[in-house]
Amino acid sequence: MKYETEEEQVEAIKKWWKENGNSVLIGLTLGFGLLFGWRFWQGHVQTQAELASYAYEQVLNASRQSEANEALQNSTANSLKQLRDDHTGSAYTALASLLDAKQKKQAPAQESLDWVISHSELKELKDLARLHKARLLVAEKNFDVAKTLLAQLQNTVFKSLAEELQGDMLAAQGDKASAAESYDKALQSKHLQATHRSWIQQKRDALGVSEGIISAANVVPAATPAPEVPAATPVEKVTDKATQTQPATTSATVAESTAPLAAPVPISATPVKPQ
Amino acid sequence: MLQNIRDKSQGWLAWVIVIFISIPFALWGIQSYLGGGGSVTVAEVNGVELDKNTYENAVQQQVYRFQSMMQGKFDITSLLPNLRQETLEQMINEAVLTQTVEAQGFRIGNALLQAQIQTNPQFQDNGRFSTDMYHAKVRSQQMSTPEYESRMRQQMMLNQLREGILSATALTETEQQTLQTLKNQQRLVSYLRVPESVATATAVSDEEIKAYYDANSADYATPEKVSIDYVLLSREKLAETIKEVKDDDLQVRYESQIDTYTTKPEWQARHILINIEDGDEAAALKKAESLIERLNKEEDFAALAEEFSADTGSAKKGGDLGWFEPGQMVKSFEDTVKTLKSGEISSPVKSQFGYHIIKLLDAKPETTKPFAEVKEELLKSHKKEEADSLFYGVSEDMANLAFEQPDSLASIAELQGIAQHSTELFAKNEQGEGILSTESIRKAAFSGQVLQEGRNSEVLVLENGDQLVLRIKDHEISQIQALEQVKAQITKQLKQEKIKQATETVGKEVLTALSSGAQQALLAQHQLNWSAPQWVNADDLALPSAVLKAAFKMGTPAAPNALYQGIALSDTEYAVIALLELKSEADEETTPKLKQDLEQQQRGLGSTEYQMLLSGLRQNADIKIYQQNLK
Repeated sequence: MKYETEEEQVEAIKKWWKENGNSVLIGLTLGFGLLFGWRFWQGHVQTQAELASYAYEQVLNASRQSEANEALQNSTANSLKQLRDDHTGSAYTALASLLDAKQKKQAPAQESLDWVISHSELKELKDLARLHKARLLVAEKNFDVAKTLLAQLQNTVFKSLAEELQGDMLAAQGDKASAAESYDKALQSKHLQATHRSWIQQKRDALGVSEGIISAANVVPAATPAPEVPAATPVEKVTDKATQTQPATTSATVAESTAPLAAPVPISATPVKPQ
Repeated sequence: MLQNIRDKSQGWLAWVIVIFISIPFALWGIQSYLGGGGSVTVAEVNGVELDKNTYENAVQQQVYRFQSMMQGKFDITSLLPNLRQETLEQMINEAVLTQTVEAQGFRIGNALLQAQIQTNPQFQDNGRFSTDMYHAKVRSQQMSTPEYESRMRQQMMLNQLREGILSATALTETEQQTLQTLKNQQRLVSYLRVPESVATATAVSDEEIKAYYDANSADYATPEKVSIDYVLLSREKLAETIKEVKDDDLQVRYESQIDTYTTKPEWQARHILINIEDGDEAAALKKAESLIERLNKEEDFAALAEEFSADTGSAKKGGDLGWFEPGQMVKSFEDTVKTLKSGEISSPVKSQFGYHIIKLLDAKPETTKPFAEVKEELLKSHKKEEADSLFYGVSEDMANLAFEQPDSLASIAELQGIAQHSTELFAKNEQGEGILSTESIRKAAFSGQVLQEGRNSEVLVLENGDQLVLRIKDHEISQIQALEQVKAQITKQLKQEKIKQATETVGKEVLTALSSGAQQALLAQHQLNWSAPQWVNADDLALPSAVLKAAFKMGTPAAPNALYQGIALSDTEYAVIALLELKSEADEETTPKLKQDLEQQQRGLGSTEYQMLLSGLRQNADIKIYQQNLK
């Protein structure tokens, strides 16, 4: 378009403003409103996150105190409640609940862990809670529930810890061979920390199931450490079936060996008795 | 109105505006040109790039840490690949964890950050946080404070996660009991050593040796070896070839660097400061003058300073300001000091602090090391610079000649600062001395280009930056050694095997005899004895470690039986172990030691959980590693 004079141009602008002025103003207001709203929201989110962080630090610090007094317990409980109410899915809350479970005994501890299992966003933290709970169940000898729980683990990376607990259960049930197998599987993980690894190894060694460590040919019959004649029972029987079921064949030597164990190993020149 | 704007837009104002606007456009993106064109990515974690510079810095830091740990006694080259790999893994781990905690809404508020920084002993002076110290320490790590603080925040978030996991593990009471039982366990152990002497028929016949040699001759091959000629371009040698430099040139160099050889003047002075109160300059001046009068009557300057000086810091020391250099004091003060002789007292001098009365105690004039004294130093640095600038020229010539005349090193050897050497025969994987300690050199010597085609190698770079070109001198192919040469070795080996078999056989006979009852006769026949039974802990030193280790894996003997097991005691000896009894004394109360053990065990379990969590998170993440950018 061409305008002849300046007045015409001014007129045209005025007209345009009359038609579109409101929309422009509304647009501007909306734009600035959104901008400030967004910044306000960001600020709010940050403040909330910092509050959660602070509450979590409270719980973490409290868990490090050896002697918990009532005031501390109360403030910890408050922090935990605040986290659960305002930051339900956050890892802060899951970790705080795990820490809380450590401070408590059986039932309340399990409740705290259940909370993590049902609320945590990170499935790995859910798995840790399952493992912690299974550990408590094993101590209660509630093996079936523990096994169900271990079967629900999501991430295979925790398999080794589940195997350790399986080993503990089997050992408690007296199934030493299977327990050793479970411990051996647990020991295959490359993530085990050194102290923890040696602890599993100790539990495994205490079972006395030696196959697989020393070649099979080396597994030898056991004999009574009587001052005189050693008589035999195969090692596997001793370790597997524990003490109560001694074969009758040994009964004769058992009677003899009730003699004092002063020199349990036959070093003396006592003649070898025929069997 | 619009006409006006149009008219004005032709004028100078419009140009100014246009220029102002164009500045940001002109400079936009300039940093990518200055910085040498963007960054290189070594890995990507969920689309977040890990930058090569950061990676190289981290590797460097690891190298420094390692070197200071080994005090430079260890050549790090062989470990470098591992170190690089490990550093990359760590960076990826950190990225994965950071992304996880950020997605989980982790955040470190200012209060937490502040507390962390203020309690760091590194930033404390006499047990209290010092801002100056903080800034200085952070600067010394080549970081700005905001950079440092954001890094701290990140570290603290990761710590929140780590500490949470590590502190949350608990052993149940059942487990604590097991732990205690196993820790305190003692075992009553005896063992029967089957010594080499039980082996009687250990003679090795020639047929046996021959048969073994024929079956295993490949084991007796000597490695392939080469020796090389090489020409070495070293900065040091190059510097030596630079002819004597004229004194005039050094003189010019001296004058251009005169500042480094000059020590600034220094003064030591006392002063008394009189404040100007309420702008009453005359009163202050009068007070100063009256003090000067008293000083002229031989009154002690230090005593008066202590009494009257408004500069309380120095007043305590009798007004002494210690030694200072030019520029440390206000200008009027310094100008006056320059005019004073030692021991002289000035008239009042005005500065923005008030009136000063100054007494110069001592002065050191400006000194400059004379040319003759620093000549050697200048010569050395001059030669080094010359050598550096020559180096690349010679290096280029060397590369060209090596390529153009691939059958000889002779013409390269004539270049300035190059010396020709040769080595003895060496194998590819035998780490030698000098240049042969570098793996890439040995690899090049065995490369197809050098070994098969007999050409010169490329230009190879040593760790210290020196460069060389090598070619083959001698080649010795792999040979199977004749039977005669290795007979002694084979005899020894076969004999050892026979002894081992003999001891094992006897040991197993003993084990069988335990059940058949023929044990005593067997022991007498071979003169074997059981060791006296001993109560031992799992970490006892009283028994051979192989015996102890096996004894603690043998389980529980069912009284009145004992458990037996045969093991190889050494390369030739055998042993039969008898486990007789075991006991575990429970501690009556929780000792601090026990508590510590428990704590350690719980954190150990936590640490395992943390490692697994990390590994699990890594599995979920999309990680790309750009091998080609890692070199």
